[in-house]
Amino acid sequence: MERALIISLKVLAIDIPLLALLGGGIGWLLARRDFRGRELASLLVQLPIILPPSVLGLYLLFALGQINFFREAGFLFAFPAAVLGALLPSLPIMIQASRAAFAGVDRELEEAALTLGRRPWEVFLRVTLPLARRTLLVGLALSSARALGDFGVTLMVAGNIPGRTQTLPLYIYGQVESLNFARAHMAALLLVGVGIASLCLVHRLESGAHERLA
Amino acid sequence: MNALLDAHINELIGDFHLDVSLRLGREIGVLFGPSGSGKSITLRCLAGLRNVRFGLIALSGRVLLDSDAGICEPPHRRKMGLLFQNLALFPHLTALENVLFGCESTGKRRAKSIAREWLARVRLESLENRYPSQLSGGQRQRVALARALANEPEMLMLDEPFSALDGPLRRNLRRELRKLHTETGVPILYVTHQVEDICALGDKVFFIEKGKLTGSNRISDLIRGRGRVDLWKMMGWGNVFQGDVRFCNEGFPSFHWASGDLALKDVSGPGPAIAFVRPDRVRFLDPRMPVDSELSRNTFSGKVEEVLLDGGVLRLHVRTPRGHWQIEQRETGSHSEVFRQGDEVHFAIPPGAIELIFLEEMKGEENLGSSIVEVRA
Repeated sequence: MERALIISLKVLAIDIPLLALLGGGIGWLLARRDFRGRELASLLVQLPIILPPSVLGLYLLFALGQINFFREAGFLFAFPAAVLGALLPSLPIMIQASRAAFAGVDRELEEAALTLGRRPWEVFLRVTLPLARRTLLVGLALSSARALGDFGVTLMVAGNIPGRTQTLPLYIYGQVESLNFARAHMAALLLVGVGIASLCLVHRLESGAHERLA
Repeated sequence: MNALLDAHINELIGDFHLDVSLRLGREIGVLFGPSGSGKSITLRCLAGLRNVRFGLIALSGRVLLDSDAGICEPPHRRKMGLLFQNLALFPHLTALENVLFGCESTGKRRAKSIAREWLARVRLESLENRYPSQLSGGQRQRVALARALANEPEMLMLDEPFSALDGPLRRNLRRELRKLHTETGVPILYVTHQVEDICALGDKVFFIEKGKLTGSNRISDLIRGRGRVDLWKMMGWGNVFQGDVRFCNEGFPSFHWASGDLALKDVSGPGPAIAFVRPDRVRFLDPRMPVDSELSRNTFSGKVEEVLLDGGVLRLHVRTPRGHWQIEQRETGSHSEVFRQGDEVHFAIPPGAIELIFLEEMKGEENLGSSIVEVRA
């Protein structure tokens, strides 16, 4: 189980910053930039959450298999594929949260900061980000929990190779298959604990946000 | 007075055409107009928060916008403070941090002392660690004002910041703003649709309607009744009637309009004219007491439709059988008890209080005479 836990943690260590950057960035674009096809883009980025993981995994497998670079670099059925497999279905959660977070920041506050002599990047760091922070963290907690628990997409693109791509959910599957229920329960308990901790964090962040801005 | 702000904005926003020119010295200018007339957009254009395709804005000799030369300074380099209607205080920062935000470029330690100094100037030094949500409406206004001025803007613009406050608080803040203006000398452009703000705050008023600047006046002139009548009418203040000046057989002049007549004195000649009576020049009468002979022809009776007590001034809207009058009296403590909605009141117009503008004279005035078609009857 330790090896599966370490792989899961490594996947998370890479996915969390990617979720923050990609999810936050796309969410900001959708919330703050008016461009052609914005609504279509908004629908498309939500697709991974609607599609069954096996379908998403299948398309991803074929898409990556078509690209020479990924094929030759041995991307599929390796650790990078496990990272991508966990990232993709959890990204829409972060995008949705960050879109709501940035849309919820009063534009006049940013404009006031500009008229007070602050440059746009300073306004983003000193006004926008602190005000959107709680909702962003809620999105990050939920999407990270989803990434940690991914099973279907990871299985399709990374396989279930112990010590290489076997994450905790895949480990549970493997243990159940070999009727080793005690180990499956231990791993499951760990994931339940992480899930509850995420929910508590989300609850705390949300209630804190309401208190401060009341 | 030399203009510190010289701005010409010509912008098409959908169907709305904004076309304003403003010149303002080291004084308080009031931008006055009805809702949707383009007041707030004008401020946003000046502050650089909205792109202007055609225009020229210069402040203290610096060109902030010149569409022909392709110059457009971004808002953070304009040094134009803007106080929003909802104040835009940062909810995640304390009062001190909010003010500090406006002056941090001077170095942290110095900025802190400047911020504290500004909080002291607006009498909030004891509340520096409170968040905006923990401050009252008036305190929030003061923090916003301190934040805007701590940034040492070359001009301060206010977008109806006191509109949500009640009378006494608004009066206090207006006084404070006047004081701060005297101390700092920063030119101020103040947007409002409230007549009291114009009279209490401004040096100069710009009238804006449907995106166009329709006129400007020194406020001292308006208060003395020398403003153009239609500007008063636009402000919704005063009693304005269109009619004729005539001389009766005995040679006494009087003003006749559709709903009545008023005795005049010292009139140059007959002819179509506009009569304007300031609401505070109307005199209440006691029906039990004899009436001054000068007033006897100009007496009216009517029913009180509305009573407003605002800033120590009692405002009455009175409906007479043949018209509608605005009357203002300084509140004495007993007036508000005396006048109630539906009460019968008697009042008189002193002939000397009737300002006449002959339509013949107005023809020479730029573009405004023709707009006077609808008068109160």
